[in-house]
Amino acid sequence: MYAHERSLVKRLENEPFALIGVNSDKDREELKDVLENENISWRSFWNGGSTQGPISTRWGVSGWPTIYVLDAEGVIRFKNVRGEAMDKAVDELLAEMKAKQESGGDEPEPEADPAEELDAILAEYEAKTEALWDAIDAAGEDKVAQRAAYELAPNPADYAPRVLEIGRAHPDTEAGFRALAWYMENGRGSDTGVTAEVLTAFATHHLEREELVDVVAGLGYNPSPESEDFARKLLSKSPHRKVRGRAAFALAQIASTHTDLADAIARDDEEFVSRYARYYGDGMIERVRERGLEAVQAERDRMYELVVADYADVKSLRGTLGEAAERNLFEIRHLQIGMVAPDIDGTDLDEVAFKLSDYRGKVVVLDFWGDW
Amino acid sequence: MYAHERSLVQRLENEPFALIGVNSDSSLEVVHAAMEREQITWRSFWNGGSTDGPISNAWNVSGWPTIYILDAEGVIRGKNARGEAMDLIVDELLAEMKGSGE
Repeated sequence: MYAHERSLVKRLENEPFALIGVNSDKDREELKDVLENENISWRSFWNGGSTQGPISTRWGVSGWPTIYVLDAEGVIRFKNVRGEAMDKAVDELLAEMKAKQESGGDEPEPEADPAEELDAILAEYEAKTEALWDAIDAAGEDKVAQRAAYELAPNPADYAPRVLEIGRAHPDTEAGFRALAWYMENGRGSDTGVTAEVLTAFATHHLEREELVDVVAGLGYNPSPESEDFARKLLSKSPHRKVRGRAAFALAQIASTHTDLADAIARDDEEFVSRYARYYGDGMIERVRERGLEAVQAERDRMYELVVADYADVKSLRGTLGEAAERNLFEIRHLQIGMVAPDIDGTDLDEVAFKLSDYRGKVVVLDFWGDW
Repeated sequence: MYAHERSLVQRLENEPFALIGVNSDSSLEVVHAAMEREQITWRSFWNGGSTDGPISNAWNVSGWPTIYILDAEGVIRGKNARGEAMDLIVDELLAEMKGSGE
């Protein structure tokens, strides 16, 4: 011990450091000889000539040596560290002191306001988008100018990391919500891990927000378990009818994708299944496998029917959720392979009336087309 | 699409086969111009000048082109088969007709 302590004291003689002993020897005179022989330069408390002395008793010391390492505020930071471990502990505390002094000397760094930071990023994105529209307007029919204009389109992926960072740092705030919502609508890559993280933040801090209506619409195109579970939470907990309606519609779309997947599983279509696994993870495949084709099909129909019954008038991208759900139910019930096609009673391009059923007795390719 | 459909229609002109379109162009002028330019001979329903028209809405069409293949009884036998896959189904259904007729 003496050798190590001597070198420690010497190494740190110009640092704010002190080694203090509590000595429990029997005889002060003998102790003085030891101090002299061993070149012990540091100061010690006298414990009264006994290992049963007042200081060691108060500190509950029953083994020798016992070591405590205190920081500059007198707080016990380490116990019974020896040799290298002691050096490391002491050095760490000295470094901590220095860091504190350096930062304490200056004005504390003003923390950036996440809302302002986010507004600045999004303003830049919007300015570029506006420049794009202006250039498209200016290009008119000029194809070369049109192509040049489209080059100006800002890429959301360039903004997504900074926006996501703000959302992650402040997930429970207004700015954090706006950042995460923007990320979900514009900047979302194929990283299902991040999507799951963002949806968890929404579920934890923002489940009651009306603005989630824009996020919900996108859930229908993401059939992953995270997306499904979040839509289900919104359907049962959101206080906003339009959010619940869109959540029900999204759940129907998700169950519809699950139906295609369950069908592929039943047909042993390995390629189809592994493509879905790559996009949405094995968790989704397992979930669908467990439920089976009939269950996911029934869920799809039940959700579309719920939309028609309770949320028919809620606005969707075009028209209402009710119209969209009715169309999907019609396709499910009348437009599947093996079903007799519904008749079409219309006019041709010379405005002559005719019906699809006029062509019974022939094989028909029905082609929904346009010249674009 | 036009080239494949033209050759399909031509190849099967003496067979019990019809290609029927549902056209969603914005005006009859636009579609007539396209038919002349592309030598489109087959008949189409008029969807009312919009992709949001009554026929495409009834059939829940949201992507173009959307293809249905019906057999001689009007039963849907194929959906969204293109190119060779379309030819294959059509030929199969024609063979099926002949088989049941004999």
